[in-house]
Amino acid sequence: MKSSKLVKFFLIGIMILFLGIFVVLPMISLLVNAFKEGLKVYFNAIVHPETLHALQLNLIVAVFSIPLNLFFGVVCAILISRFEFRAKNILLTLIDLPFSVSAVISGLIFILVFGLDGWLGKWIEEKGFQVIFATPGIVLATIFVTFPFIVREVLPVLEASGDEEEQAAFTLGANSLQIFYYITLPKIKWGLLYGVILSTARVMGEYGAVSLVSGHISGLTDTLPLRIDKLYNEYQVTSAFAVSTILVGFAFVTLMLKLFIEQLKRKSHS
Amino acid sequence: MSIEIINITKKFNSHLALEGVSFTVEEGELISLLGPSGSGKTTLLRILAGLETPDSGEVLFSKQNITSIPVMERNIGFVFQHYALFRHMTVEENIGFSLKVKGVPKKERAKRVNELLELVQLSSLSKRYPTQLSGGQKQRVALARALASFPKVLLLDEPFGALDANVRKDLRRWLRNLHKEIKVTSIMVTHDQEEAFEVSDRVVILNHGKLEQIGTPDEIFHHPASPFVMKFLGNVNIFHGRIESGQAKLSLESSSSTQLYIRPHDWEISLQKEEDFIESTIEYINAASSVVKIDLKTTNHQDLQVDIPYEKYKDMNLKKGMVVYLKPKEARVFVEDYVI
Repeated sequence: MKSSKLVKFFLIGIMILFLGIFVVLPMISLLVNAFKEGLKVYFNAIVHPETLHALQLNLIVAVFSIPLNLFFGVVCAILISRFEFRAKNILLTLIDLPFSVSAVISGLIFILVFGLDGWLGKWIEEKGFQVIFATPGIVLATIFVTFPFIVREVLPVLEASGDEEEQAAFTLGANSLQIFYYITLPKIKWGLLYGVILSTARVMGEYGAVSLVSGHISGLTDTLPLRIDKLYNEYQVTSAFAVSTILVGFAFVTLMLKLFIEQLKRKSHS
Repeated sequence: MSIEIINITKKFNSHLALEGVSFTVEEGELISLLGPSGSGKTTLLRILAGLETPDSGEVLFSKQNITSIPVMERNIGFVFQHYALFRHMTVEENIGFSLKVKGVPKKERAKRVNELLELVQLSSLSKRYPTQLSGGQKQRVALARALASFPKVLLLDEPFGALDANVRKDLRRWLRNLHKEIKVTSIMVTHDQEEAFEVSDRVVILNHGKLEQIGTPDEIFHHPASPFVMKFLGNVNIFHGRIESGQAKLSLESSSSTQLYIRPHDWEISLQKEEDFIESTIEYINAASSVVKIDLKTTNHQDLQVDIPYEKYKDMNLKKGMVVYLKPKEARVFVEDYVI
């Protein structure tokens, strides 16, 4: 039909315009600004010790928070999809809380609990640990913000596939661990990978919650987003954009991985 | 292995799924649990498997109380209605699963899997995935998988329920032959009486969580123990009437309290008016079988089903709209357990 073709091109035009203004243009300007003062300035910004330290901190946070998210996410998804209990709806709502509440508030919650004036702050300090304005606080705040990603990817898969296969495995003499390893895990592996990718992307880029608990100590508790913010506020615009390209590059890799996994998934299903 | 089911009761919230059900299954028998949906037959099967726990009562396997033994230690084979095959495993991996989790060495496992593939005639499809199989093939894989580690009991939950009518008939016959061959005590749930009668040694009829009757197909068909069993076994004509010197007399007024149950094949049909025969008009004829099914309406608008042999139908030259006269050859009355 001719009219539907017209509508199609009209809609495509709108999307090109929209993506051009909101995605492509800012990306181009970011790259242009990052390399504006030449490759030397760009590399100097990137190999600056404080930048490298920020990158290292980001990776440390990821190394701690992703496995924990993975573990609790899978436990939570299995609990909700396979068992009946009274507080189920409350649990489901709590899982979505990090998505619905502002990240700044997430950070604030941890200060109120672990800060020096907080409920557990004194006790933790007496034990000789520091949570707030240190790496543990950043990890905690990041987990809080990224926890829902894995549950939300795995839960629908488990609910859609039902538990008949697990029951069958049960009647065939498998124990719970064997059932998880041989039956449930292969079912959820794509959802799991997808959740890990999404939550890694968020871990690397999280700003709001981390900003409150980190204390912005240069070369100590600055993550990459905090470092970029700081550079920008110190009028080192080119350096800020240069460091930004690390995160953009990371986001790009993430998206490629996502595409790749979707393709693999489609292949394994056909 | 013999199975004793003793006074099993199970409640789901306020719904009573099973109420004081008791019966015994002999070693090597194939028993069907037959009943309408919601009669508790699947719940009973799941209790035998250990997938549900009864509120009260006991299950004995070979005289041993296994009520509190978990599923994986019961050594049962369970076949699900929707196959429940592991979709990411091939046919042979599916069949070998129970041996793998029990730590049977690879070589021995492969040998047993091949035996089973031959038993269910699927050797050529061993490398396929479940999505590449037809319904009947899937159910045969499920059966082979359930039999792999020599279960003491085979439990089948509506095994043919999701299959086409033709495949179902073939598989039914095949299952009966298989059972003759391997002789494992088996319990099958079904809502299809034809299936239950064709396959099993004895049939247990359940209704609203209670046992209505247990017996051989012959006993149950010819001596139904209750109006429910009679009605459940097939369309039955219910008439008001009375008993006079051992003879059933139909009355077309519904004032009479006695109910007569008359099966469609238990009618005498005549073209002439005779004493004690009731007048009816033919509404519909289905002659596409060796037994011709005729729907009629009596003069007081009661619907009636009559089955007659095809030859008789040809001889009488019956047509839609004709008026015929009917008399029951045999009728059952369940008032005060009085059966004539």
